[in-house]
Amino acid sequence: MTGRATQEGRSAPAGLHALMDRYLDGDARAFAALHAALAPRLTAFLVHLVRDTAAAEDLVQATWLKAHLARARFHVQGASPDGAVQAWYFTIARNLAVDHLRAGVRDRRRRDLGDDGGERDRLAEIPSDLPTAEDLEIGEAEAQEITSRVRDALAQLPAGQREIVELHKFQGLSMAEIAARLRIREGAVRVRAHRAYKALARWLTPTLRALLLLLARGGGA
Amino acid sequence: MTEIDARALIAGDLAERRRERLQHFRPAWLLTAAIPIVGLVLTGARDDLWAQPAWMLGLQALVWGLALFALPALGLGLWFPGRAARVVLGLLAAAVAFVVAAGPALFDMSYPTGMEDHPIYQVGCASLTLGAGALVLAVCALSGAFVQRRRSAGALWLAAAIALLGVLTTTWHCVITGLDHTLPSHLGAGVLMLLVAGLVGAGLHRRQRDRA
Repeated sequence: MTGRATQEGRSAPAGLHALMDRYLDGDARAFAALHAALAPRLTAFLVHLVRDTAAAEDLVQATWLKAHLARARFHVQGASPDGAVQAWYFTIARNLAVDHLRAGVRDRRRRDLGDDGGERDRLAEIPSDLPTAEDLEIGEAEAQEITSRVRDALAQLPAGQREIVELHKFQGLSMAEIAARLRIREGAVRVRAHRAYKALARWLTPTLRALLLLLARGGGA
Repeated sequence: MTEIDARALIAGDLAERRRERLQHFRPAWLLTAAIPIVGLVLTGARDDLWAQPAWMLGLQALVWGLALFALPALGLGLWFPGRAARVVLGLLAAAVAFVVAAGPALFDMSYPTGMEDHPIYQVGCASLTLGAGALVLAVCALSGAFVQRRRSAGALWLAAAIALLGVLTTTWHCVITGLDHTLPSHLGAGVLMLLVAGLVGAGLHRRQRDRA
């Protein structure tokens, strides 16, 4: 793959892993340095892949946000820790670029279908509050994206808290029923649920909102 | 083109996380600031507190500063100095803790002891060191201070701060300056506090990691 070749053709800047390590621990200055070191490379990589500077800029933003949301899952693999950091970001960027290119192909296909039959255009002129097939598809994609993000956030919860959220929200059990099932006090269930929802709210905003907005725009296109 | 600035959003998120960590810091910090003072009010300050050599008072103030600011900031992930600075800070904390706990008698064996040592005083001073440290340890454990960093080494910095606080509380209370007394009951108890707090902190960190 061209992107991979480009990625592998560049050695990672020294010290990336040390910066990543401090960033994962919450050091904002380390993140700024990591951003400064990788942003130009990511931009060049994405421009090369999508052949559209504006879209590439948006995909770079999406890459940083997606990586930030998933940073707890970063682990060093391979012999080069610096290379592992660069590879992680480039993999996220490449996946977003592929999604963006696929969305572009789908859009073009839809436009082609719409242009080639007059009947479809006449139907489009009929005013309707009902969502179009495209709206439904986009809405479904957004819903799937949101579901995926929420599940990722859930996976980050401690097992005890995750279990309660799943029983409460997915199975519809009351706090008392959960307490009976888990054989713990209802007060403890409520405390765990409160902590879990607080953590989820923290993880899902505000960067997630921004990411979803970006993704809803078609990967920044 | 989107108007989203990922760098600013992420920086904002990290700042928010930092504020949360400060919240964990606050209860233990208040206790760390209050314990030596409350301890002195309750048990009484040593008669020669202000008669100590100025350099010793300065070192004691440095220990308090390390226990209040530098070590907790490292342990909670509020401050990220480089490796060399961390090594220097660790060595500095160990050195000043040793000198403050041992006292001027470390350099001058004829330094006035004020009172003759007795085993009961040793038990008392060790208890005061461990008691003061245990209070902060409990608050740190309950507030989640030990699980703020990704690595368990963060717990060791907090444990060091707790041990320094225990040593300082006893140093400001106890008038006995002979090495026979200070080495086991001040410094020894401080080292024990360091080990206990380190083990508790590392255990809490590990439990949190396993649950996640």
